[in-house]
Amino acid sequence: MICLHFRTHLLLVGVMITLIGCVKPDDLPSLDLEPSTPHLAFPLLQAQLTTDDLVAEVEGKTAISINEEGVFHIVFDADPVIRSKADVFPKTAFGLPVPILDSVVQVPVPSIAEADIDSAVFKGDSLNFILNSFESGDVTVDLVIPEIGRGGMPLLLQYLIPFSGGGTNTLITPKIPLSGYELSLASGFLNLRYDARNADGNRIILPLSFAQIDAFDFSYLQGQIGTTVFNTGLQSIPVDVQDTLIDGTYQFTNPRIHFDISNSFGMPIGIAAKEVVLVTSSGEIHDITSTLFEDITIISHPGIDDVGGNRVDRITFDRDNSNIVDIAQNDIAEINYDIDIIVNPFSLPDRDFFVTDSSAVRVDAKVDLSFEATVQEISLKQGLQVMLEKLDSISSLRLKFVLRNGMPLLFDPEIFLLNDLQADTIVLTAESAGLILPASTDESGNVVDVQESVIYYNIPEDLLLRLRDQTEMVLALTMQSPESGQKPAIVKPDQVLEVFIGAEARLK
Amino acid sequence: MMRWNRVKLLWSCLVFAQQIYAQAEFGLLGNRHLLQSDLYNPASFHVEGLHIGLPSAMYNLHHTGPGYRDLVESTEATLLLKIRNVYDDLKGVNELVANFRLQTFKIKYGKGDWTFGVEHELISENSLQYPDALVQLYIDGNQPWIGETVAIGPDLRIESYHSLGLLVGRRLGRLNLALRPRLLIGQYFGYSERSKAHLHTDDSYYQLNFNSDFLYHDVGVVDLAGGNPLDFQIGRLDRWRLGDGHIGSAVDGGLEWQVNDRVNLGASFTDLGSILWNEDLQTYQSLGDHPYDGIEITNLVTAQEVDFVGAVDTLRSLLDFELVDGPSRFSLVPRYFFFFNYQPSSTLSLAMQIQYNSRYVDPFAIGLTATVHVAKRLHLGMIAGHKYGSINLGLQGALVLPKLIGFLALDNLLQGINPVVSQRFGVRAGINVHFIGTSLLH
Repeated sequence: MICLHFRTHLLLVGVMITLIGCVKPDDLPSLDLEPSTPHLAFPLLQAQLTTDDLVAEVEGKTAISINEEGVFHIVFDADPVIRSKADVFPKTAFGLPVPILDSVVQVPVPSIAEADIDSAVFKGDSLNFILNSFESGDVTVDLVIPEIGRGGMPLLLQYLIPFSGGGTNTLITPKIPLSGYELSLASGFLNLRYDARNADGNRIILPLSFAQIDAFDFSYLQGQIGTTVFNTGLQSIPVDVQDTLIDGTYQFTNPRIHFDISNSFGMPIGIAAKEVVLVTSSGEIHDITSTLFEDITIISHPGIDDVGGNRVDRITFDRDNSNIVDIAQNDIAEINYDIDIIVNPFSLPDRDFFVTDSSAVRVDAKVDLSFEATVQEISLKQGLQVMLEKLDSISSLRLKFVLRNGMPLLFDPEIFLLNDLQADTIVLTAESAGLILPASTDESGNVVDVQESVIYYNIPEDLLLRLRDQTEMVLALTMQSPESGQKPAIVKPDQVLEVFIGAEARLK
Repeated sequence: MMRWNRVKLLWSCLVFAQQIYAQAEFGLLGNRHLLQSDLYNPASFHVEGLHIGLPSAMYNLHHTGPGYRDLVESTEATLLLKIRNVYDDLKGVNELVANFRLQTFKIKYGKGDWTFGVEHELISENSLQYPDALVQLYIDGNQPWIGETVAIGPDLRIESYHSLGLLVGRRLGRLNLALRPRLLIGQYFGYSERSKAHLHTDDSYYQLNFNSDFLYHDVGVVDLAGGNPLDFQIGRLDRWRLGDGHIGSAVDGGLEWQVNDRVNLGASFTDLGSILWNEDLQTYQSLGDHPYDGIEITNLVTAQEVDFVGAVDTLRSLLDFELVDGPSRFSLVPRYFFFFNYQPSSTLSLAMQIQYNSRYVDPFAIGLTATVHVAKRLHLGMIAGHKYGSINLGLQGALVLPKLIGFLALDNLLQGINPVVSQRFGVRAGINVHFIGTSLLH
């Protein structure tokens, strides 16, 4: 009986274990969660718009850079006007050979004397002689020109006029390069002296002979240099604002015309501005008036101990010394100017003025439009490809834009959504004013603090249904400087408009 | 039968869960004359003779939310978890416990001062604690919590194993002592050792930050092959055979002191031990801050396209778990019991039980049982207790036949006795055969 019960029990145990073991995964139904319609809040995107990006967008064919005040600016320039040593001391050619009639000959030095030059260094001209004798033997000739020398030693030359067998014996000497020889002009003349001896050693006077100097050209001149005036003529700086910058209504509040002058003459230079005019794209001409027209601006010069150096200076027509801000709109077409460059404008009698072969006055005229402007309206548009098919699982959507504006510009954003056919354009409308306020600025327009704005866009279900067919989102930004465009904005690098977009979406 | 088994199996494994170890049944604890009462005190039922427990099953469900029928909608192919019904019944800290114990056999022999026993039990204990926000997040989304941080980490423990026990008891005067070493063969294990997870929704433009300190060990319960809990798959759950598991051991011990003819005191512990889950163990970890600030566009002017699909992937990746090395031996959660029995007459016995389980939200449970011999062969008992943080009323009954006792105990009558409707349900039923010696309960 016991065994019967025990066997029955074991059988039951076996059945139980078998039942449990028979549960196969394929028998298990899958477990699903009941669908819900949660209201989700999540960040959508974070983006930046920096002034560098903005400038790159508005930049046309002319590069926009950063000026010394750390402000974006655009510079238009023209070919420089250069006046060099050759304009002050042109190369003087000797047309004819100088006859040597006696053992001592004085040769005048032409134009240099007008400058009352004390010393000079030849640049590269040459000297040679045609020497004749009637002797019936060889003749030796020792020549010296005391005013030409090197290292304190005068130029000494020795020649032999060979006997040719009868008649006139002639020697044409090779050309002697004068480059590097110093010329002393204290007397205003070159003195050529020779000592000719026949085969017996007796001193003789040569029959008519000649000295040939190609030209007087110097690499260095020193002495008293008189006043010389050069007129640049009417020069022009093309200023193609319309083709360079973006369309819009704005006015530069700190336009400047710079004349950057570099002087390597060893004497003062004067710049006399005679006329500067502004020409608009419609051909209107506006005279620029300035106190700078009243005086000659003196540019300093390198001293005798700084030969080869140069001095730079800048003459600037700006809002402080001219009427330029009153006439410089955003449609400047060109700036024309006429100036005189005056060498030693006050005819100073200094004898240590100098000119080197590389001495020059260079005038670079520039129109500098820094991004300090009152902006009434500038617009930018940017399209983004988007895929919004998934919106059909959303029953309502509210977008929150958090905008931290470090730019001194107010932005009025508009968001359009387009489809490929452009047939249905949807404009998202902000719940309130929808403006991105400009950064706080001081009176000058410099940014002092970031301004945060929050804009909500509510998109109901009917609009969502239309949105899912749209493929492109266009962001149009209309920009304006503070106080409705009346206060200037100074746009500097690294100013940032941070855009953060969050979404509140209720799922279907 | 097969289908009911499957549903119970799934229900037991309901993917989340935590401290599972159910409070022991009051029905058994309160009746020391039942053979199965030694489940929770090995020193109990020290009775002369040969006693055989035929298969005895216990099923226990506790949910702070709705019952099974309101929580799960069943079709042939799917079980649909009706989260919205949970939403309506949130309690702050919510708890789901689903336990199933099947004692396939039990043999106990008592002679003189000694008792010996051998038994096998299949144990599946599953529990989940989940914060309100986890459900609210699913139903309402995070929009209501803009600017706030909410805790969403579920705390889960799922454990299924076979237990083969060998009991030895000794009477020393009025004192009964017993130990029950057990061989454990683990089948399934899911345990969130650390379960902190917080979601913060910033009030600026709703940036999200998922902060977590979550460590989950799994053997066969869920498959997170992609490393993302959003892609979880329930495990195959096809390893139930005795010879196919992870080895562990545990010991239960207890004492019973017969103070006098009417008063009896007892104390015990169970489940001191561990299982080495060394095969197929996967340990997943999510640790630290995982912020998401939206798609980043460095230059708004030149951007050509916005990849929102990629953003969704990034968002999902916040929840990515990484596979890490971790321990493979995990302790069971020990339980401690104290018993007081008083028998004022031959037909009435009263009992009080206190039990402690550190893994519970309410670790203490207390029960009072009164058993009356209403007829010669019929004993009925009433159970009143406090368990899972609420009042518990139950009934038990035993039919005493020569050499045969059948019993049935029901917990949570206040919630009804329909297991698919009740939020709390407990049942234990079994038949014991008593050879030699006494079969009398009294």
